[in-house]
Amino acid sequence: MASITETYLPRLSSRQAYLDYLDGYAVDRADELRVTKLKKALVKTYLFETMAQDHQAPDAATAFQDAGVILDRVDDSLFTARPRGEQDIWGLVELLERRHPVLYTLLDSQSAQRWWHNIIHASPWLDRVWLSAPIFTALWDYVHRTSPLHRFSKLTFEYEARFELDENGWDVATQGEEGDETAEEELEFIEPSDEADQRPERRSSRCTLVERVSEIQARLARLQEVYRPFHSITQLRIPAPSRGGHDFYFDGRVTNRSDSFLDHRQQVGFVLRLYRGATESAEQALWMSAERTGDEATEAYRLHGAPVVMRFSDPLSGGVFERWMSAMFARRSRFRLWGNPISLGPNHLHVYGVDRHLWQPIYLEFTRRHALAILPKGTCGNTVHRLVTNVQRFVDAEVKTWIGETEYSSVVNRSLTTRAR
Amino acid sequence: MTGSALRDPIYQLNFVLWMLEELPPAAPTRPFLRQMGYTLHSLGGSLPMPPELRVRLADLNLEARQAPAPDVLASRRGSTEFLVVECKAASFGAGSSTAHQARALLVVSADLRGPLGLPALPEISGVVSYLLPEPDSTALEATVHELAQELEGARLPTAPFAVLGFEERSDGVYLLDRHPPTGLPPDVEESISDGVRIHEVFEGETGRRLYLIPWDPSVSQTPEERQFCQRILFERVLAEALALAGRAPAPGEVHLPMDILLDRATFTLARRWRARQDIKHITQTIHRFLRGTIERHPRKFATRWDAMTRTLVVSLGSAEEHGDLLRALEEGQPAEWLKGRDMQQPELFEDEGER
Repeated sequence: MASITETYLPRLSSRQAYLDYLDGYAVDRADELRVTKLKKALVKTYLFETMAQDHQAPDAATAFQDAGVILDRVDDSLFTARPRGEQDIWGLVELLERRHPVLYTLLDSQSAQRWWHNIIHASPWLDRVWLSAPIFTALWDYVHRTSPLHRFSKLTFEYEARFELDENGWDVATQGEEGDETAEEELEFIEPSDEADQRPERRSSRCTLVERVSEIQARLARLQEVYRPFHSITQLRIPAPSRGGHDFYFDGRVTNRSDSFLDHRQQVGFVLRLYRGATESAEQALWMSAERTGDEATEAYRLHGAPVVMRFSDPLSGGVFERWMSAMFARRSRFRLWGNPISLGPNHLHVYGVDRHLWQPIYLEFTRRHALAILPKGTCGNTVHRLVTNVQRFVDAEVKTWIGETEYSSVVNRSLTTRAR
Repeated sequence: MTGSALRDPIYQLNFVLWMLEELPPAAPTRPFLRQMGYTLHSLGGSLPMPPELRVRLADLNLEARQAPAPDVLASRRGSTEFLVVECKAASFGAGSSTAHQARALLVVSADLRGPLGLPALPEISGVVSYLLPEPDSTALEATVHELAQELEGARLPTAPFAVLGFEERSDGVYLLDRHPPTGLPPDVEESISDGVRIHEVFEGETGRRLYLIPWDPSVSQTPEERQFCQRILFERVLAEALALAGRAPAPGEVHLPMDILLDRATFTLARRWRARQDIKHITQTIHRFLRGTIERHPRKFATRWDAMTRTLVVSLGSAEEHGDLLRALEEGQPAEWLKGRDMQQPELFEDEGER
């Protein structure tokens, strides 16, 4: 086993030296992977959203420092990173894409994820990047159009009927909300041991498909047709040019399993540009605001902005709707929303609330058939990606989403097409 | 949903706005006006009467001092057609004070070029469209018809008009046209026909959609509807206060400026209220609510009131104190706080709250 000291980064003098170091490291790891003798950690990358559109937001470097990360400048966009109070270099932060810094680290998965969670939890200006199923679907389209068809790729599908009763008829979704305030999503990465795994049994699917690109492409649509959870893609491997690939996860984690850090960095940049394009298009369409038209005397206003509409593939059962709504606004709910629900009927709820992670307002409507969200101007579009990702994973794997009149998937595809030009 | 919502001007205004929203076919609301090519031109703007018409109305002893201000003005893409939408709780008679406004609206809408500052040619008239609960549409249609004939008889320009009804049925809220032909474009009238469902409603739901406009203190409402709207406004204010507090540094200060909170909670439309002297009273009430909410927490926060900027400032000594402030605000209950309070009635010793 590698010791923790081997997973810190050395002190080097320049960007080039760091990139060379990580590239060489990647080659070594790929060789070890090939002979299944992996001794050291892989390069892990974590993607951030920074609320760059908010004029009150600090710049990305300040946001990290406020979250307890000491950044030391390598050049204008690359920094070494360590937790406050530590001397060793735990990782590198690169301002790879406007509003989306990334953290590269060689720490083992658990240490790296704990650090990442702590950073996000400590700052209202930093969030994960949320890769929803429509974003993965667009990325899959990119993979099968650009990768040799004989190469292997990997897709993971994940769906858990979180708000259905367990097999004994117990309501497990709403238990324990008032205890530990750590959000469910933050506990999720810690896999319980077999002995400690007391998770309730309920309808859930998690399956990973490792196959040649041509095979996946030939069968994916049919799989999705016969079994809905196949719509809920939560992980995708983008094959690297020579061997291995880059594993992207729904919550903004990426693992480099290729032999090239430089290719890894390029793929990460590509996905972030796609993501930024989709987020900014969504924000442009969604942001609700009013502006005065004409002169002071006429006092006329014009209202701009459109809602997000989510239509469930089938109406939720009354029980699922009730349990989801009562869990939705609990302090430790993974949806991270606050609001006083206004009940208009047993199947109808309005909430004029707040995204508790980013502390930005959001107005929501829920019925058993749909969810609708209004984003007041300034509320980050990342909130929409998080909502879609969580609904797809825990409520309805086949949920359809629109940004105003346009399908969310079209917004994502348009961004991909724009990037590809 | 009770029938009183259909008669409520804020519900009706939001109903019209949802008909103009960008929505997909799968949405629970059909944006009928948008589908017919209309987009929102302006909300609540007044239409200044051209001077020549003022003289002629004055000669006929008809009220023309105040510029009429329809609730919504919508324009149709690719044409010069305008809808001048006025929502009403109930019908009114030709002798009522509301009929004076109706006459002015019919006259001024006959040519919107001057009132809207549009180019000189060609003439652009709007269709004055009244919307009200269906049982009353027949009576109002008769009234507006009478007013239009009276104006035409006096050789005053008169805009075409329509009187449309709302109706709540078991499966949704409908828009009806019971009095064709109206002044509406034929394709719009044909599409409404015997009724077009705007809000789809299933068992256990109501025809209320999210309120884009939460409240307007100048509007006359039933106590229940006023309470409902005030609650929405206060929920939105609380959300804005939490947003400011959540992103504040700790240690440091949280600044809660009352005017900005109200501005944000209403998409800035509260600025329209200023002329009506309502804003100060409402921000004072918001201040009392937020201060009361913070003071309910066991921790004693250090607060001060900055009278110059009308800002409640909370000093935070630590991250723990910051967490407690967020908890205190999260536990705010506008519905409970508003019980028995009516913001349209200033409270005794109101200014004492701002210390």
